[in-house]
Amino acid sequence: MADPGRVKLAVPASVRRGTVARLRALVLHPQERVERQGGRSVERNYRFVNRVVVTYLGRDIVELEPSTAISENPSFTIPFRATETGLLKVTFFDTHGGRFEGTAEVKVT
Amino acid sequence: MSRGLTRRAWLGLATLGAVGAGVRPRIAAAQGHLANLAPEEPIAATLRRLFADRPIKDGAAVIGIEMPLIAEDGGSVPITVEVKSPMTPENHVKAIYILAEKNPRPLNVKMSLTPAAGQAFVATNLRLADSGPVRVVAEMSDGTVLMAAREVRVTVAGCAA
Repeated sequence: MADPGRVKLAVPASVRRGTVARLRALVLHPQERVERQGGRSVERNYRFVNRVVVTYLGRDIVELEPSTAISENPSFTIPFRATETGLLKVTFFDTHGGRFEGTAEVKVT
Repeated sequence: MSRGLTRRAWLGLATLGAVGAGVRPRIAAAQGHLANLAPEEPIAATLRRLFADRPIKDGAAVIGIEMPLIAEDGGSVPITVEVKSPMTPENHVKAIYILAEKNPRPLNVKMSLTPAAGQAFVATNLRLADSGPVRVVAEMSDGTVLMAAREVRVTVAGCAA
């Protein structure tokens, strides 16, 4: 993987006040799947993103709890109601203590 | 214990250090062990674990699921979910669960929402172990639980686990 832990966010260039817009958030991450041997899961500390927190203007708006059954390089499209120009922040947490953060400015007109 | 600090003292220091560093009580490292994952179980058991005995109603009229009919690669199957809701503090979708019936651990992802989201919507990519229904459960702010499903054929399994 080129640059694990890199977060990419995509938001519209500008949003009309009061309307709902969508944010796309992606993290470069292996999102390991559980290995199986002889029909049984192999025990080890799998490395995957298990928590994603999205904040807008400093307030939590959405939280996700992905499992190993989300694809490699997890990506989520998430709605938010645009009220003021400000920061959207997405933080990905993985099972090995990794914390990957991305921010994007939302321009509200 | 001939060393300077006893095991107990070490533990105490470690706890203090964690608190000092602002770490939440849920320690982040080593969460990926099997014991911390959802158990391998049939989807009926997952639904019972999540919603206990609450009735699960048919949500086909309010839950929209977009997925390909045939997924070439089970390792990455796009899904788009939209639940019709005014998303006001009094009446909103509290959580969306995506579950793959044929996966050994059926819960793919749980999404918790607030009215500030403005819409009950999510799009992501799933790993699907086999052909079968993908179920979406919406938990409403009044406690109602709704479920809808889409049948997906998987050509190459995603070993979702």
